[in-house]
Amino acid sequence: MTILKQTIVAKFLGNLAEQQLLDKAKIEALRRLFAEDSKIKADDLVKLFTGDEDGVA
Amino acid sequence: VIKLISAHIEEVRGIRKLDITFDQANFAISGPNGSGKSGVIDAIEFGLTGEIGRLQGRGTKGLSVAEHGPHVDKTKFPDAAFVELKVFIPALKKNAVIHRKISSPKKPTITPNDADVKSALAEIAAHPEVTLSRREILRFILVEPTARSEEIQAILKLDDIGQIRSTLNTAQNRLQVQQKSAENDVRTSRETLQRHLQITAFQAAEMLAAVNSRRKLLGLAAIEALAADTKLDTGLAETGKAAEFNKQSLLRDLSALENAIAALPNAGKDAVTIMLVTLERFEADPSLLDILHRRELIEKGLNLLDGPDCPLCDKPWDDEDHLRSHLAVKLAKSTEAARLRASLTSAGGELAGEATRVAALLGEVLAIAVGQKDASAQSAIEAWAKDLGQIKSELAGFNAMLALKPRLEAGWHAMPKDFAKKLAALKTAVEDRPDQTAAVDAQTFLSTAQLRLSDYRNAMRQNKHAEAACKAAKAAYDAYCAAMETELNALYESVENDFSSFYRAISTRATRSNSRPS
Repeated sequence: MTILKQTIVAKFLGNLAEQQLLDKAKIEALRRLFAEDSKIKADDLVKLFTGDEDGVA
Repeated sequence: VIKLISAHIEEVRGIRKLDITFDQANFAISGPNGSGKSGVIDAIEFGLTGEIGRLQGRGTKGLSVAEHGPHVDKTKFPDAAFVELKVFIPALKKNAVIHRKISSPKKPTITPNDADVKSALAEIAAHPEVTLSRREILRFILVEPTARSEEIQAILKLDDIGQIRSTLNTAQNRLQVQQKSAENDVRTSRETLQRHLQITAFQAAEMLAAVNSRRKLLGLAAIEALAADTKLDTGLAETGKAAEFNKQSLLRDLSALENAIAALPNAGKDAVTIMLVTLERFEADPSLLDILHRRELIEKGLNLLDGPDCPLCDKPWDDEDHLRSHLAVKLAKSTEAARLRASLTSAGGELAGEATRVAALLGEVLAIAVGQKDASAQSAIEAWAKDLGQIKSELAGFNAMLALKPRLEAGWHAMPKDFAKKLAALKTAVEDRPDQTAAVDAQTFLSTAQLRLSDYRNAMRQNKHAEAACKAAKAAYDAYCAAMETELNALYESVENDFSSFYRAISTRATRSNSRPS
């Protein structure tokens, strides 16, 4: 992952947490997904957002 | 940051053999067009990163380092093409040598093979923007402000940043479709309940008034407030009488279907018009379909892409980014065809909503036909419901929609012949049933109301869930776009300032030089 991409992802996750746009579990799931080296798939995101909780904090 | 000490270039691009000594200082190369100035930049970039930016991105038509990196006389012998760079790494206070062959661009020989040296050079290799060709710099300078982010991504070869945005958007769109379907289910179940309760406004007070009048007749306590777990038929089981059909409710269901049938000529009319116009465009220009088929293939390829080998044809590429940008260029050529497909798909979705509505009413009436043992009506309802199910699935797929023109022209609903007559006969049979006693009517009214309220609550729960997922996806998409724009714009500002400083410095020197007396 290039440094710029790392910066954008960190800022993205930081904003989600800081502004409480998503619940903690979903932010953590996103963090794990981005930490994996493979490409992010739309199916994985749909599954993540459709998790048990309401999602939006 | 590293500083170049020297470069040895052999058989790379237009260069046969060249040694340059930089001595860690600024270095300018001048010469006429075609003399190989950019070839030196290409070679340095290759030495540092294993890539040659000029062979990638827009307008390059999929050139590759392996095929186009070596000198034209050595394309069959990529082993002969290599770059050797001597560099100084200030942070480590160490010199290092990178020897990189065109035949194995990702496996440089690094001397000394120290972990800190390898790590410093790996970081440089992860920054393809360390070398920018003249073409890339010009593109960056001339870009419109609205397209800055996109251009910066292309220049910095950061397509995967845009790829993440695109994937988040795809997820968001899919969840929107799911939510739309959940909303339809809520609407259908609410209409079914409201029709049964015979209330004009879907409000708790009206619902309770309808329910409590029946409860009073049966001597059951009135329900004071409607909570999430309120049971409309509570206490009914204690009367010991099994719930039967409610004649008036059945008649209302039958009337609802009759009304829907009467409204069919106008149902989904706008969607049908859009679909027919779009289908005619596809008929008039068959190449649009070819373009779309290729686009679908490329889209699938992009989704499957996970490495430097093309998932469509197995062709090996130098790296994944190069392959990805090659596919992205092809994708950009089919935008208009994609817009037409989106228009057809959207109108198809609306029409599918109409079909769902009629199918839901048919479901209610089928139960009545079964209860009445009316085999003729039953088979007619089943046949129509099956056909509506079929068209709904066809409306969900682009390729199936392309064959729907005759059906749309003839009337999308394709109500079976004599259906209205069979429905009328079924209604007459229900009307002819003896009137229910007030007590039985009240009992069946309450049990049916409870069943329909449960369906409605369930639909509401699923819709809430779908809505939350949709909202979460949108929040994530918006947050990612904001972070991306902020960082890329900040980067742009910083580079713009650097360019301005350099330009001022060069301009000042040139002015001083010109003003010296000769």
